[in-house]
Amino acid sequence: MYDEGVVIRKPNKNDISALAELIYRFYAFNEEFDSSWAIKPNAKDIAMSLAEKYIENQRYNMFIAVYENSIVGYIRSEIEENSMLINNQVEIIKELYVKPQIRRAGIASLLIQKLNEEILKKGIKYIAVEFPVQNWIALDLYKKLGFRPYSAIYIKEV
Amino acid sequence: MENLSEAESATIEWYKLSVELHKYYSGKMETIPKVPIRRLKDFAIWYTPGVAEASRLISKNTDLAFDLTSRWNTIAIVSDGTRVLGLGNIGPEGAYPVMEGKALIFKYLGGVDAIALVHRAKDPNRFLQLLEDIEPSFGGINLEDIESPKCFYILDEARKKLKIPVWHDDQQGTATIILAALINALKTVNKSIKGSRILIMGAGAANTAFYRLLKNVKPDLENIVVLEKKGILHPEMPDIDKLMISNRYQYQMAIETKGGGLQPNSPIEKAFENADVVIAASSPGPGTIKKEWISKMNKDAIVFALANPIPEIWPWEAKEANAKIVATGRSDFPNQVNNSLVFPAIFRGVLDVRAKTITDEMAIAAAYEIAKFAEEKGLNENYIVPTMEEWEIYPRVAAAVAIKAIEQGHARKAITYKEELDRARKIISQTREKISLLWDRGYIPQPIKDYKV
Repeated sequence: MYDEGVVIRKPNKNDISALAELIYRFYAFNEEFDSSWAIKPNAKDIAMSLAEKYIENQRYNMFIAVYENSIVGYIRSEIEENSMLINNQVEIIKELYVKPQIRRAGIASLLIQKLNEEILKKGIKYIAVEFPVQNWIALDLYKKLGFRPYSAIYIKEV
Repeated sequence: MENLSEAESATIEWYKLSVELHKYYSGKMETIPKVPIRRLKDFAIWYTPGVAEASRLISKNTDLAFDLTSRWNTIAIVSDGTRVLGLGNIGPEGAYPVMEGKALIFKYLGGVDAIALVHRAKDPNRFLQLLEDIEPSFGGINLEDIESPKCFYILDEARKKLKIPVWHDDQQGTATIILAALINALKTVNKSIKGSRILIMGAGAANTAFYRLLKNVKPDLENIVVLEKKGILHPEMPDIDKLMISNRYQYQMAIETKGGGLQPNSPIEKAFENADVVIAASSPGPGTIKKEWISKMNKDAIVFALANPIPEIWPWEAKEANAKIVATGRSDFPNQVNNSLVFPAIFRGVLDVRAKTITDEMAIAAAYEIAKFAEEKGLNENYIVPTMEEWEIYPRVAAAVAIKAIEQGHARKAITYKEELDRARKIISQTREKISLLWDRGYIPQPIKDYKV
């Protein structure tokens, strides 16, 4: 329903601090779902430098959603390579966050769709997503979008 | 009672008297038969062999239980003791006297048979399972004194799963009477719900439920500010995402009200600025609400200071700060916002039509009936809701709720407003007469100690 007002684009230098805020929020949120994701006390500063790094370096794949002149969501993905496989490249969504007041309006889907279009052009056949297992909100979203379970990462303290 | 320590020491006197009399009477309720027992042979009717036929019929059609047993008029008052009055998590045994007191009020004001059911199933899913498992014994469930936010989950799920009314009085009863009082308070100062700016202070059980009811009658949610200890609930508040996990209901309020249009992290004073109404159901005072904050409200300010046992601000202080209408939860001040006007009557109505549930619309119908009743008597700043002694209110509310239940298709039995009014009056007055009889004949002994009337 927000289709008309929302612009999905690549972030630029002017978007750094707004993007930093969203990156911080993504991690603060996921901290709730796994103790190993506990964030540093100076996470907000780190988010700022991450935002700069992501915007400057083309290697990082990012899109932001803009509505009424403010950034309301973002998505970041990375390519995973495995030369043994026919499908030697998978695009993995590492971060996806939409602001609370604009959730359930299809923004996450729009971000993923834009990503889909781009990686299709690169000839990549698969898109994946990674998130803490307890994050039932992410689980619901991705199931609804047709993702299926793919790989398992188990963790333990040494 | 204009003096701080006078009010507090009066409360302590109540505590002392109450403990002595609880001990003297060894509890407040007992079970008494309502069928003839003329000779032992009558047991062949009420017990074996006669009762086997009643059992057989019910086993073929379980709804017959409502006709052949007292299930139709019996409810369970269920608590795990995790948030009892202002005492907090004192456990089931500690909750028992409160539940028994509630049963007393249900019977005396609504003619409803209620049993205190305190239990150890604190885990929300075990609690729910307990309710599902005991459903066959009761015509309704009254949840009481359960900690938030799990109480919202339990109420919502139980309402979906059970085919008898489930009601959490701390939530819905309080919300209903607040709404009734608010309707009349606004009428008294010539304002209306739509367009007025309402500050909801404290987002616990009562105010979360009140917000839910308010949404049905107030479309302009941006004129609602919800204030919690952590600050104004706002989509841009810090840790809003954590709130989504820890208290989904407060999260919803933050998103829907958008912080009442205020900036995130606004100080408390800002929340009071230009407010027409403050509904406070938060930490007991005094001093939880400061006089300066009330002075920032709009002219003809309405202040509901509902914390128990000490309101967030004393009524005289609020009036000194230019509040026009003040309400509290206490009987020693005017405008007592008291659930007891609601729950006995709502259950009377729903039990009489064997309703399957109590909807928000039925609660709103009750609120409007209560408001109407007081309006008929004549509203003024010290009379915005009926007092508990205005006996006629209970049958009126029972009838209004019964009709709404039928209208919404939740009733198993049909009845007209007038029929329910008469029936409720009869049940309630007969209950009172029976109690009077026991008192007059000395079966309820005189108390060994008493208060000044």
